[in-house]
Amino acid sequence: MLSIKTALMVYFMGSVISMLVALMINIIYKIIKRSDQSATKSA
Amino acid sequence: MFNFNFFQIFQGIGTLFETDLKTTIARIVLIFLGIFLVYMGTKGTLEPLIMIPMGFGMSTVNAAVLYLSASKVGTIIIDPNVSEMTQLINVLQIDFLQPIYTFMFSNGLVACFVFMGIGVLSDISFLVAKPFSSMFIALCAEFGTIATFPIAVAMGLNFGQAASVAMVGGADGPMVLYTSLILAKEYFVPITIVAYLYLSLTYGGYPYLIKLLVPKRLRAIKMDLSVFPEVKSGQKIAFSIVVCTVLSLLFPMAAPLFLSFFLGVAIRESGIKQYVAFLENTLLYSSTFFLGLVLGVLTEANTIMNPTVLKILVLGILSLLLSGIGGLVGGYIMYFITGGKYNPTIGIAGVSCVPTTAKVAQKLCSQANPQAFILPYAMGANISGVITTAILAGVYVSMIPYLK
Repeated sequence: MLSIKTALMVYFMGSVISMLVALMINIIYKIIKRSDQSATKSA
Repeated sequence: MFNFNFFQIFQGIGTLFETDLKTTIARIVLIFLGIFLVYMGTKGTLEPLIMIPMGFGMSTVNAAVLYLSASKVGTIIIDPNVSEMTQLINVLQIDFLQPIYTFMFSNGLVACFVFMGIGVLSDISFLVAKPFSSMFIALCAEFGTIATFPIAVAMGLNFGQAASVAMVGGADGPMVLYTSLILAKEYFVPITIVAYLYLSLTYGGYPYLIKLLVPKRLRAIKMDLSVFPEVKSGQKIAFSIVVCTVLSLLFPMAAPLFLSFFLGVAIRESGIKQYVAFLENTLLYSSTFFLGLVLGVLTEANTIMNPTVLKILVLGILSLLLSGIGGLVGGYIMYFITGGKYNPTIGIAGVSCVPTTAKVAQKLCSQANPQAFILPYAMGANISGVITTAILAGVYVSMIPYLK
């Protein structure tokens, strides 16, 4: 039983962190894209 | 008078008759297995980069057993069990591969070197362009990494051993090596050998799984490639350093792996040609060569002759099979979410055997429809697979010691 609980906990933690990484990627991508656009506009 | 003793002169043959029958049979089987692996590697059926040095090491180490003292037999190639410092210093001067093992293997350095090479080979544009769907597929393809753990515990392995063998489902050789070195050092040799043997088989085995679970009609679905935005190097470097730092904050135990992988990615994007060439060619290939060779010479009959090895063999293939099925189920979920616009074959690429599984997915789709170009999506899932496997390794390595 403990092994099943451990496996589920590992998967839950792994999933949450992976999706947070995906969110971070998305945010970084958008921030850099926006700063590029504003740099192009001001130029 | 000259006293001629055949077995004293030809000690490799002599020790075959000195040891017990089981060990003798195991030695002979492993000698032929080594030769067979070299043959399969040369033919290209198994990965030649690993299998040729591994096969040579395996057959040589089982042939070159000699009398180390009156009562002890062994080799002068490697001694993985030495721990006492004075003994280690002696062995380092005698066993020719011991320095490589002690300074590169037993501390996981070789896994990190291979990971730097994988990082420099990985184009993360596809992941940056489609992060959520790529990560979702990769998480589904970790099914084997999770489901095998309780099965392994039920089969009698302890938590560390179970987690290490479950990592085979992540389909990432260096990760399996690293996890087993930390969690199950007593079985890291068989677990890593099983992992590399099975990973070599993914190219031949997964196409059958795909054909079994995904009908030709669905394999032929064309993906929309116009949605892929251009991702600049700066964005990729920013992503690498931020994600590496955050993951290292969360899992310091797996920080060497995160550092190695993301450093490789950043070096690729920085465009420093000398570093790229060094990591991609010199470091990756020399590490892979010594990885294969050292794994081969560690495959001594005494190391392998353990009932647990049979369990590891069964659990390793089960883990990879479950991961493949999980990935394809993830592909089907994306297919239904997008209203039939997603090719479910991409799911297999979530199993992070870079870039083999992505190539397998593309090959199968091209066979069903020559215009079905899915490689960018598959590479996104593939690179995500490396990251999710590293994250799960980090969770296992951080959690398991507290469960013992």
